[in-house]
Amino acid sequence: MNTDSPRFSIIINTINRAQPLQTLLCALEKQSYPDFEVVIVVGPTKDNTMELLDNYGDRVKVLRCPSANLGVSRNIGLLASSGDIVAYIDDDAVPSHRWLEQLAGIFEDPWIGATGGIVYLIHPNHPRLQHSLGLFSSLAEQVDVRSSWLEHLVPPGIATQWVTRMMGTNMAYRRADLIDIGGFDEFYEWVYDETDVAMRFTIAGKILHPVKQAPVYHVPASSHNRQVFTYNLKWWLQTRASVYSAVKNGTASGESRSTIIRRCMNLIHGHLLLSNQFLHDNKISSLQAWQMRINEVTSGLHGMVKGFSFPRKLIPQNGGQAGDDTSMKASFHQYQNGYSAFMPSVDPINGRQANVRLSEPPLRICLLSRDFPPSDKGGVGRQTHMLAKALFESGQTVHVITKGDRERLTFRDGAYVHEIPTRLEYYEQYKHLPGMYYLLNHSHNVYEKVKDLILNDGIQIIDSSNYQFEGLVTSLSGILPVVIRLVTAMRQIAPLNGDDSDDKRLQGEMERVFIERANHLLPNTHATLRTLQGIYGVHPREDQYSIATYGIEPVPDEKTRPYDLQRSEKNLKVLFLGRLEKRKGIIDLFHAIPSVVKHAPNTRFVIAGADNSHNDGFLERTGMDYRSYFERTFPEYKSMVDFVGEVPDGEPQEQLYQSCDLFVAPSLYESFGLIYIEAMNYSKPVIGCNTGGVPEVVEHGVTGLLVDPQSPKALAEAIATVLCSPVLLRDMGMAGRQRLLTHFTAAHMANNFTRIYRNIITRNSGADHQ
Amino acid sequence: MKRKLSAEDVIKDIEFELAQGVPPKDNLGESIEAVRQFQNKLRAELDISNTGSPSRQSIGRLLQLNDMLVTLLQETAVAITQLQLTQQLQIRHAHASTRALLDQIDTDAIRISEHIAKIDEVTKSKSLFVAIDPQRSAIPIIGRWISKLRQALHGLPLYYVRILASKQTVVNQAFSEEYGYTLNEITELRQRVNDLELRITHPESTD
Repeated sequence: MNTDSPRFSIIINTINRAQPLQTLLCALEKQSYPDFEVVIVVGPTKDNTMELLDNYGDRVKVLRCPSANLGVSRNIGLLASSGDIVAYIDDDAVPSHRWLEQLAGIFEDPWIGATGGIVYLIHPNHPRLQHSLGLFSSLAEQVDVRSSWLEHLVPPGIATQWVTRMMGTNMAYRRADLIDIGGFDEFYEWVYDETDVAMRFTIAGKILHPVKQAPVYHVPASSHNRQVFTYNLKWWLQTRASVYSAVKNGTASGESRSTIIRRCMNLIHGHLLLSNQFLHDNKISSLQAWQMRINEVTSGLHGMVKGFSFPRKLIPQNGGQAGDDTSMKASFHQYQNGYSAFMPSVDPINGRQANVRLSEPPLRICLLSRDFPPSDKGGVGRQTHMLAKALFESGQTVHVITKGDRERLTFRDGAYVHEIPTRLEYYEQYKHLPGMYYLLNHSHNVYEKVKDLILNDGIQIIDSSNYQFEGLVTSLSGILPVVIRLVTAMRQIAPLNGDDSDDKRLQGEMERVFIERANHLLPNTHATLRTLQGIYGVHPREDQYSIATYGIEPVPDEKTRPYDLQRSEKNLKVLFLGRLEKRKGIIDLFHAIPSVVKHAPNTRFVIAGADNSHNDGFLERTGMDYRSYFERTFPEYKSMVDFVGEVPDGEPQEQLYQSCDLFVAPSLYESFGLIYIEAMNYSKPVIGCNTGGVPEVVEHGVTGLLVDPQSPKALAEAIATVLCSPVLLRDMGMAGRQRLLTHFTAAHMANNFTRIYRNIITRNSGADHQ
Repeated sequence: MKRKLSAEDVIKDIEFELAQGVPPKDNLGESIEAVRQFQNKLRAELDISNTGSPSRQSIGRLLQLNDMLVTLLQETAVAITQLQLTQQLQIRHAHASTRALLDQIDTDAIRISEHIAKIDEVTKSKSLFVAIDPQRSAIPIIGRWISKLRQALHGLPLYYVRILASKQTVVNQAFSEEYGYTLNEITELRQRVNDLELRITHPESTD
């Protein structure tokens, strides 16, 4: 047996799923362990699966299975394989980058005969941990998810024999051992095939050792047996399989016949109750319920008769010898080729790849952002979301770690989004400083997740914003290089919000330490760097930072709305879009409105965004939210201002931008000012403040006007100046669009960040080797 | 006045947590508790208090033995965790007070070795041997036959109990050996702690 570097045969059983199969084949190109072949067993398929496989030539072994029977199909693959290890994965799943590498590591122990990792369901609408360290009993009871080996150490249920088991989409066996027990029982058309093998494998005295690593990402697709995420599936196949399993394995494990029969009745009864429940919930019709009940009873009886009276349908003993045929061994074709390493990352849900040609292997990047859309729309979250999307479009693999109420994983907008709950298990000594206590624990939880991602997905670099020092523990651990995207510092925000507590002071201190210890700094503008230097006294050398501006996806030209000099409409619209809070200069805008209206009486203001008066202390100080404040202070201008509240991303925001004539955001500080380039995208002139990174985005006098912060009078003058000049409205808007296209597109951003990441990874690996 | 916490204090605490690198310990405790509860449930179901039955006596002894093994597991886990903490504290502070903790580990190790000696004693198969001891019948003429019948009735369960006991003995011996190995590991770890402490407190002596 070759235990040093085993050869794998990846076996995929498929029917009518050409698209997910193609996604899987793309993902396999990216495996870190190259020594594997791919064996595909195609059932009676009606789609273009065979045409798809023709494109792969002899890179894959293709076999046909005459029936839609998973047990038969798995055995055909097993016999045609020539690797030392057979690894099964479903056609609607993709493996993690280091899947085989980790499984190979486990098989280094010569005593282990089978293993498999965890399975995440990553569909955006139904994410959950689907399988981890599962258990299965001789009476077909099962536990799918255990957090550790110690959970259910005393197994639940009535059976006397319990074994660990893997899920069919992530299981690997020593080929010889699997053939030795007769492979899969071909009675199982669907489900319970993998658990049955686990039971027989263990009873045969072989060691089966599932692990909590080597994940597979599962995106369930519809099949001839089920329509995913509906109740439309062949429940009766499950009943038949589970009853058969209870009879066969119960008997082999010494359960009494009466116990087995009682269990079989329970299984059938359980599904009968399910049909009642579905009917009650109006998920199926009365007719369907009766069909389901009849099917459940007949299939249950079928399973019992087959179980008690007929032998198993296994691979005949000489089957193994046929499988070990030397000509079969000689036909091992390594799947990956010279181009595999350069293929762009693949979207596991729809199989899409970025339309780029790479000259270097794509990077595997991990972004940290506690806030992340769609649940959070804070500035850092939005920037991280844009960056993730842009990096995927440039071919890179992106993981995002964000907060969640429980552990789950989805794939959204080009990134694997890992949600982790903040478990308050560490740093009890900081309980009296609630903010610090929470942030330190979150940072530690992030570090734990980063360790998993290194192990499973081979991430190479961590990118975190300085805000709330999420990457601090990871940075101190030194396990990977950590770069910091510099955004507005906490020490800038705290005084604006009137917070001078000890908690905030210490948080500011930690932000400074985090910045000081970073491998590299990525200020989005020169101003951000200068500000950080002033606030924290951090003076990085030139090779310790790179200016990395953000960018957005330009909308097509037909969606832009430059000011039309010929238009007959005389009313003008000024848009403010952002959180309603002091830092965003909303009070200054309120005070500027009367003066603007005097100069341009046909002006309407649209104020869009969530009111943040309860967080920035305004509500506490004045007893009013921002809208009430405006309406009480300037009652005569109430009719000229529309407060539209928070506006969702996408089309609603697009309509706002398109319908306005001028965009105003008089923020007291912006490290970059993404909001301005979003308005420039639609050819709108912008008014902002001469502060932070805004002058590096908005060219004063060319793409808009800048005024001093907290100067309502100057702000009013600037707004009025632009509104009163149709030529300025048009020219500044068009110049803004041009500036966006030449400096601030998503592609510019992705290329710049990728270049910087690559340099740091190279530098860091060089340092490691020294 | 109480000193305000500084960034350096927080860094030290983070480094301490990183150095520990141990998974949450709750699982082990919970699982040991689950095993104990399961065992107690079994005890109740089997009515072990009825000591008159020889097979129940044997099962009772097996359950007792399991209790001891679980206790030993707990003790070992505690000792190892304590040892880990000691190492980290030494690296962090490098002062003499860690000596007391090391002494504590010494004591723990001795307690474990005592446990192992006891378990070695009870795991020997003779301790699980249960003799057939049916009461003789005083009834004239048929008394002899009644005694033979009693003997046969006792013999049947004892036949299976002895098979079970011999298998359990093998398992117990394996446990016992494993714990002996663990004890050696602890002793070695303790030696490493001593060496480390020596290097930290008297660096010149190791040059």
